[in-house]
Amino acid sequence: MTDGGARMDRRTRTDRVLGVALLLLGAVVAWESRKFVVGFPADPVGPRALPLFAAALLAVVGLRVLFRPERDPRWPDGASRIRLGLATGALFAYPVLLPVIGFIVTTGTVVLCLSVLFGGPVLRSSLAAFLFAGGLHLLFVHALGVPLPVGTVFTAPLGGG
Amino acid sequence: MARSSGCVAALGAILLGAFAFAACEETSGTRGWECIAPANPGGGWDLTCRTVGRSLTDGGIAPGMVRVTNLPGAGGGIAYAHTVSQRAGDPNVIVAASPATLLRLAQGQFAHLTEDDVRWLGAVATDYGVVAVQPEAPWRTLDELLDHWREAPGSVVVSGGSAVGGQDHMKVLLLARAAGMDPRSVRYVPFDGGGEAMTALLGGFVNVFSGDVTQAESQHEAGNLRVLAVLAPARVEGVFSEVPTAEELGYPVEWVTWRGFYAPAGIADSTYNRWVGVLDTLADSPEWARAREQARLDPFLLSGEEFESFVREQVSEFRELSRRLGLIP
Amino acid sequence: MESFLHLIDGFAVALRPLNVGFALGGVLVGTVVGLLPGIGPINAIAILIPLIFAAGIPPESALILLAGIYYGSQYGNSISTILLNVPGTTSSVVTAIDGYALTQQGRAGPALATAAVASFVGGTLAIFGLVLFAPILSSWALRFGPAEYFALMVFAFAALSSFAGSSLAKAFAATGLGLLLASVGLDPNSAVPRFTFGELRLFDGLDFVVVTIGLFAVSEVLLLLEGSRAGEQVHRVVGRVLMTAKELASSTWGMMRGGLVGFVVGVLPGAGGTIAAFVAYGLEQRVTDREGTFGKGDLRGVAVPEAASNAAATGAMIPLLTLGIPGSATTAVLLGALMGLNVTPGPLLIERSPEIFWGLAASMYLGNLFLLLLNLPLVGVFIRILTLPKWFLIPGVAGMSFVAVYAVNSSVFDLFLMVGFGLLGYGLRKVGVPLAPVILGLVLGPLMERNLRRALALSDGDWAVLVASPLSISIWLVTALGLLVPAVLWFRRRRRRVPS
Repeated sequence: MTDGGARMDRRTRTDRVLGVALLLLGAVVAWESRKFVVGFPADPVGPRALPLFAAALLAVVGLRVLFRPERDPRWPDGASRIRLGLATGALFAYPVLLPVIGFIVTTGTVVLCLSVLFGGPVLRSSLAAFLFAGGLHLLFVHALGVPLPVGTVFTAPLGGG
Repeated sequence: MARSSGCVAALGAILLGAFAFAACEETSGTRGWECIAPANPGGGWDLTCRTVGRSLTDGGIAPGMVRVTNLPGAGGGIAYAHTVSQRAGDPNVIVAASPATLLRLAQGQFAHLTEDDVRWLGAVATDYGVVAVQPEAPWRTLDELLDHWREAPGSVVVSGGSAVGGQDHMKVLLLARAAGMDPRSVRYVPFDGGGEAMTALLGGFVNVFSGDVTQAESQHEAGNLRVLAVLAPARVEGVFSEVPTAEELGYPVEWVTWRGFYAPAGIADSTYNRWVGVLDTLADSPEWARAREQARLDPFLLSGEEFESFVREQVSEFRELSRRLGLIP
Repeated sequence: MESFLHLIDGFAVALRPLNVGFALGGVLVGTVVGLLPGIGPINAIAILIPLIFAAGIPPESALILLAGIYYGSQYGNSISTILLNVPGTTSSVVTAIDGYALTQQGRAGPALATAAVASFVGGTLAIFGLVLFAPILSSWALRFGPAEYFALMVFAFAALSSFAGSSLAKAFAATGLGLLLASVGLDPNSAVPRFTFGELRLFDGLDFVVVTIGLFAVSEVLLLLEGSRAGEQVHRVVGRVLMTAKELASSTWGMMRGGLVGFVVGVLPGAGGTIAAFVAYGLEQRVTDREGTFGKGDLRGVAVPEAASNAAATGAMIPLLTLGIPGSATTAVLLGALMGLNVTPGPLLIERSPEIFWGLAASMYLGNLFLLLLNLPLVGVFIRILTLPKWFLIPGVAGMSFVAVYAVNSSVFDLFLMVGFGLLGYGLRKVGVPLAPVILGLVLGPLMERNLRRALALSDGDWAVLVASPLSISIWLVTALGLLVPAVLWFRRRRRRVPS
């Protein structure tokens, strides 16, 4: 706390951005909470209290972080950033592909992509990824009784007959 | 290295075989009947699907196993929306429902969907609503409770396991209306499930518990609470055979917690009639009688057009009550 | 004394070959399904129930099997939590803090072994509690009304600073975020939808599993990817496989305290299992963390929440069996199973079906022993997982997260949410916001809000209801003490430091 002056010299951009983000979030939440209107005599506290409390907490912490920032963390550099971007893409692709091409193909493909991003050898990674997907399918569908999507690509031609 | 790759190959062969098997079964398995439970495994609608599915299979009524799919969320809204938008015309699927479904529909909580967006097939079993007080409570009968309640509405607090506007709330609102009270004067406090709501009564934190026969049975038998009335059309056998119905006492209130099914719209009339026939046959089968007793439910059969008009009546009554309460505009 | 005579009868039931087999099979299945985060045990139980009905298995044997799955899964989940940072229950979120830190230091073995011993100690302690005090405790649980629950939740929140990590301010930010996430969904007290944006899938609120797996497991995948080089194994494994006798001795009292706290809190229906580990960890950190090692890989930080959660799981059997009130999703499924077997849990259960109550108690004792005997030797096998290459294991964790989250609601929407929370978790960890308080806010927020609103609805708006009973007053006092003592200690330490 005493070295607040020295702290200013270091790079503290991350925490300043975080502080502003928390303040904004608090403001948006508080604004949205206006809409929670109850049309009948309910409890004395009402539905607004919890979100407003959360908003206040976020805003206060936002201010504190804004004016007493800590040092920046090390953010990923060029190559790592690309890998992270690709991995995020693969992760978001999963729910998009799942209903279309089914559980086994989707899981195999996405796990394979991640394996390669982690530097795995392609051939062995693909074997591992698809075996893994098959194994999970067995476990969930047959042992735990959880139906997993087959994929509209595979069911559509069969649907008519 | 050689050993480990051999190991991987063997493992691979096993898994591939299993995988092929799984893939085959997956595509062939979609032809049978399916029951969608709009709840997590173990929830009420899940139990409906699983017990009915098993009885249909055991009784030889269904062609093979009945598959149960869990689609929880939004008090049945997720399954409802799924049925309307993605299952239209599917002749092989039914969805479990209960008065809770109709309440949500009446209160417009299934987005913009209404009770006309599906085909209502029928109900095959039921539970009934109860109103209970502590054994040492000053009210010995429902009349005494309601008289006191009418005099001083603010002094009676009711607990229930459902949210505001849910089943347990509606039970006491109907009772209050029958007693000539303003529904807005009823103090109802929602708890997370019937168990917690009953604990609140046992602990003396509320005056009245609103729930179902199956929830109150064991505590009533042990003398830890006193059920004043069963909201059934006739007395319920077993533990509650001594307890009068609200109707007997002059308050025409029934709460039938029926367990039933709907099917997607767009199915052929012949398919609709087939489902109605299936439910009728099921209701008469010994397999279902046994399964129903295991689930502690009472017999209740309403199917086809009769059920459809029953559903419409219930929804409009719920809509009217919710409006008077101020829940919906 | 009488209880112990009954317990001997109980052992006669539990030691029947079928029941021994069921207890063993139950904990085995439980451990395996518990390894998968999320719905493992509930699904396993829900699937076995119709089979049990059909096979005509006697109710006490069925219950022994299902209960074995229930508490076996608790331990199974701590394995994946400690090794891979994939917590599937609230209690394992607490275990993750020190457990995964130990794994990162190469000490996964001692962490797993401590978890196994702690589960045993906590479970065994709780079984004694069950045998001796079940009827007393069930009437005690009834005296807990909304006001008392609210006080208890505030008490649990006071443990926050124990989870703060480096910055208390950022821990508050995390709590605020958790409370915000907690308010998403249809408000049960007023039927008003909050932050649902008209999306039906948000009406039930955010699922704990979706948020947790996203924040913890998916963000871990991204963090590991950022710092990875080709061909690396996941974590080193250094030193002994098991902990030393000295380490065990140093955490034994923690296990006992954790077990005690977990059991007492676990008896409370609804809240118990959720807060037991948080409360026990918070208390232990305040009482014994003199060197400030909690949160940085302290074996006691694994021992305490594990003992507490296992004891709470056993404690939760008390309201289930004696009041017929389930305290969690899993016990709710157990309740359904019992009803189907024509056993009505409730005040008359112990009288009418003593073989069920005492047989179960005795079998839980055996089951806990089985768990310990099975799992201690397996620690060496489990930690071998960590020596797998990263490219093999970590994408597998991602795949497992997807399927586990999908299985909860069969919903693709949840998968988007999970990935979103994964990115959020990555960001939060980068900027030094601790994750455990987010979960604390998410799970305690609704309990706190609902009980406050219930309490005030019951009192018609009179806030005095919050301090109206001796029980709630004592919880408030303990909370105040818990906040004051560390503050006083901190000031004294600071004063001492100033002259030097």
